[in-house]
Amino acid sequence: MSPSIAEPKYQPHRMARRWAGPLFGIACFLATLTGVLVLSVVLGAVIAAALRQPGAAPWYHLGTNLRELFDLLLGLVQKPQSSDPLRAGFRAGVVGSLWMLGLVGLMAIPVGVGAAVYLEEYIAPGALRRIIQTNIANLAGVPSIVYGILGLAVFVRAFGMKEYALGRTLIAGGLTLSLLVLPVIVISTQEALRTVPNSLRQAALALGATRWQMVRDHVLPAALPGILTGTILSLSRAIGETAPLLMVGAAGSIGVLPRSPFDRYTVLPVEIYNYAKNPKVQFQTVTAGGILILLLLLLTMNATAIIIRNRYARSG
Amino acid sequence: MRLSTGLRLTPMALLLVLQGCGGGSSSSPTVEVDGSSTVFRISEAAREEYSRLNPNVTVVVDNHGTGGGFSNYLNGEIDIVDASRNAKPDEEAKAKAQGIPWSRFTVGTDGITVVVNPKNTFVKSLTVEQLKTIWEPDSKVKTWKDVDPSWPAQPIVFYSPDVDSGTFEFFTEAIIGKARQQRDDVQPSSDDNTLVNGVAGDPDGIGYFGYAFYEENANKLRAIPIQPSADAGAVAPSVTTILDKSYRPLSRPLYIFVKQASLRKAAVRGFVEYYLEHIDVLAKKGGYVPPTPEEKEANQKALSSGQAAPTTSAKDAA
Amino acid sequence: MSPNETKPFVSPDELWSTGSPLRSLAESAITVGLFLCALVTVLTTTGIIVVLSVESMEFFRQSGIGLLDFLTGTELKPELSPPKYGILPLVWGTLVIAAGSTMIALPIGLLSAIYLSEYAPKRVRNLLKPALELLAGIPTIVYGYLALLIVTPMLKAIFEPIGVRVETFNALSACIVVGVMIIPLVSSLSEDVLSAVPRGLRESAYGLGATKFEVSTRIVLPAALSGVVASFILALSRAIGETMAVVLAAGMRPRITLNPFTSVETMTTYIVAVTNGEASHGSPKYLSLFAVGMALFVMTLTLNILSGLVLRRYREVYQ
Repeated sequence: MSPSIAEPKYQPHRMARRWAGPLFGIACFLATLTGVLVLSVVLGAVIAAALRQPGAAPWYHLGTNLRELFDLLLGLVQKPQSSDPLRAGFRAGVVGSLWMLGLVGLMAIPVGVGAAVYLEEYIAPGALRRIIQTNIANLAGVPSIVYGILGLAVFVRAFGMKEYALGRTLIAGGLTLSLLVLPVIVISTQEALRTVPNSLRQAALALGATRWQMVRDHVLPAALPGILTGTILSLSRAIGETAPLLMVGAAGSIGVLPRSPFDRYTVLPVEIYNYAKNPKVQFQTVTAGGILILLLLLLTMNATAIIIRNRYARSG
Repeated sequence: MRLSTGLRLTPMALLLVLQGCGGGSSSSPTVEVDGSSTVFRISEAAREEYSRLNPNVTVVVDNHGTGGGFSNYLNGEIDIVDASRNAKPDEEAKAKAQGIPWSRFTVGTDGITVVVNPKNTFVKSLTVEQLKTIWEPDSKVKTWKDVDPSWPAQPIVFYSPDVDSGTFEFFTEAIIGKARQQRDDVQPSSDDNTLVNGVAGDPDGIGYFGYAFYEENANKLRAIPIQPSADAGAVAPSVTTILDKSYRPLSRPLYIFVKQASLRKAAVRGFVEYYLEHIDVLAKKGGYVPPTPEEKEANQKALSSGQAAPTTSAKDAA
Repeated sequence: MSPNETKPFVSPDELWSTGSPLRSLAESAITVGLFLCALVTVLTTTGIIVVLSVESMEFFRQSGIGLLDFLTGTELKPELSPPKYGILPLVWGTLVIAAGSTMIALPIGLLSAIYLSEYAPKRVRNLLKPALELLAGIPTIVYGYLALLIVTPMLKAIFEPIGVRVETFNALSACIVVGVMIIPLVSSLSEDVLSAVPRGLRESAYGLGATKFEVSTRIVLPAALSGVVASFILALSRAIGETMAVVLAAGMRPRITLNPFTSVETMTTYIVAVTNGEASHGSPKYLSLFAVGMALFVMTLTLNILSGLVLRRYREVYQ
């Protein structure tokens, strides 16, 4: 007996389907909006804290407030650390964070992309590959402070072997952070590589390309948007990390700027954290200013990556 | 974008090269300070002022906690330990055993202030006994009435530094008698500003933290005078009472422990001399009360003789 | 005759290189280089395991606590004598924060990703996607203060009028802020994978009369499932490992409770507290942090192995 065409599952249900779409669309839109809303709340709170001075202009005087904010931030970037709120700034932290970004980008991105390429394009699917992948997924969940402990033991102290120990220098911090963000880069690059259709690979091979040529010239450019997303997310994480860097030697208070990867340093989040713990009430403005500087740094970095990502984005 | 072979292999080569030349440091003389986050604020002020006069000396101050500071000292990584407590006997023994004895200097006094919300007008003062019954482990006190029958029967909300803080350790040792034993149902925080906000926003709150945090927020909090024993009067914390040691037993001295070998280095000696000479200004900048004249004299003696100062805690009864 | 029949063994790299010795050398060198990159991850794990195990064993030796007591004990009171080191309250705290934050982040992240890839016009997508990624870059301490200064007062304002007591440090605040923090992990990565689903798939579905809702949920999403699930796992991992935000938001009281309005302590906050605290290094209390770290590592490893086993069956490959 064949099922009758009048059974519920064969009915067109046009009304329900017509409404399900827009409703779902609205739900999705609201979800996106939640994220944006939270971002605005955070930014608003931080900006308000930065501008909270007695006698400040009310919030709707946007022009005055923007100019004041700009002056505040410019000043904070140039001033060194100080226990006096009027003289305190983030000069050492900004320079240290920029150094850190450079080092982490230089070290983590090639190694991460390389590892992902190896796992996706070179190694045979099998037990070894699954073990390495499970391992990487697990590393993504290791708390940042454990990486700090690892960095302290391996890079700063070299298990006690003083000739190889890097000490509490920028490079030790950079290596620690690179290990921290490596799993994120590997996983997102792997997913990006998986979205590249196999036909692209086979076409390149059919035309006589070697495996590396195929990867370098065809697969990687096609996967670039996803790789850049992973880069953005991982560098964003690196720039905001406090706990592991405190363990491997970011200084609580330092007056000089690092001139090489082997110098002592500090980074913005550490300075922000220290200023936040200070009892003097005026430091709250300084702290809020520091957070804004960090976010602006982040925004610039993200914007650069996004411009590159958009140029290579797939249109279909 | 072509990620050519050369571009990809360069960072790895760089990595290997950088790993090879480890242990390099900047050429200017460095003074490494680490330890308590309480004393950090004084050392930081010292760093700032000293660096302005001597820009060629690099002073670095960290705040990994008193325990962390001693541990790094015993690892040979730092010159000066900021300490909000005395060195423990085993720490001192290890230092002597490794041949890196230290000299101790007093750099200030902190008065731990017990605060309530300004809306709380009925608590006029507290004795040490009352504090003990309020804060001890397995305490029977749940409402203000349990402490003093004339107070209202509102439940108390407790705000305390977290169990790993030096303030917590000192308070419990001084009030309850046993270090780090305290009731369980408190709101702990490692950030004293959070405790300030907690008590300031909670009419039933009671909390304790360093004097500087009360002083900065005096308009949002009320400090409770403490009565140290049955025959003494209740003393409110203030710069004067902490300085003349009448605010008891919650005044604690703040120390720096300087490696004697480092004192022979010009950079460290210069920094320590400047530190001690200007300690009045620096301690105030950190939010603390400067050391008494007797303590300063002891400092100078320790500095000139290069002897290790006595470090057993029995001698530090306030 | 092809080279395969004359030589007994030909490596894949030689096969690709059409016989030129220099090219085959370069190919082999690159393969080795890439393998070394993958090796770095293995070495990292080895390093973590070595460092954690050595100190954990020292902890068990010094404190005399049995492994079973450690893993199943419900009291964490290092200050008592004899000290009690039961980590169940910490495990519970970790699970609570992880579950709560993923319950917030996964739906919002996924729906945002679907919106950005299927519904949003290109301009809107190019604006909103980076905006959401900015959420990932806000320092974790800012999220902690956000919880204390905005989320908890909001919760108090909502729940206290109906008689529920909301403590200053509560698990729900922590779940909310950690959830918000990991939204970009889900939304950005999922959006990338969703956009990469070939257009032909969508258009054939439209051709058969499907609505946009049906195309998004029944065609595109299953095709991108492996990437979406990978982003879920990444987000969950981040939630389990998050430290600073939870420290500031959820306080530090180890206990097993179902009340979201009260303070809990997670394994990560315990590690941070002991690291930055005043315990002298080498004491049992200090060493306990390595044991807790080891326990956390084993826990996440088990989770990952299990999820790997389950997910292997659900990958779809197109073209």
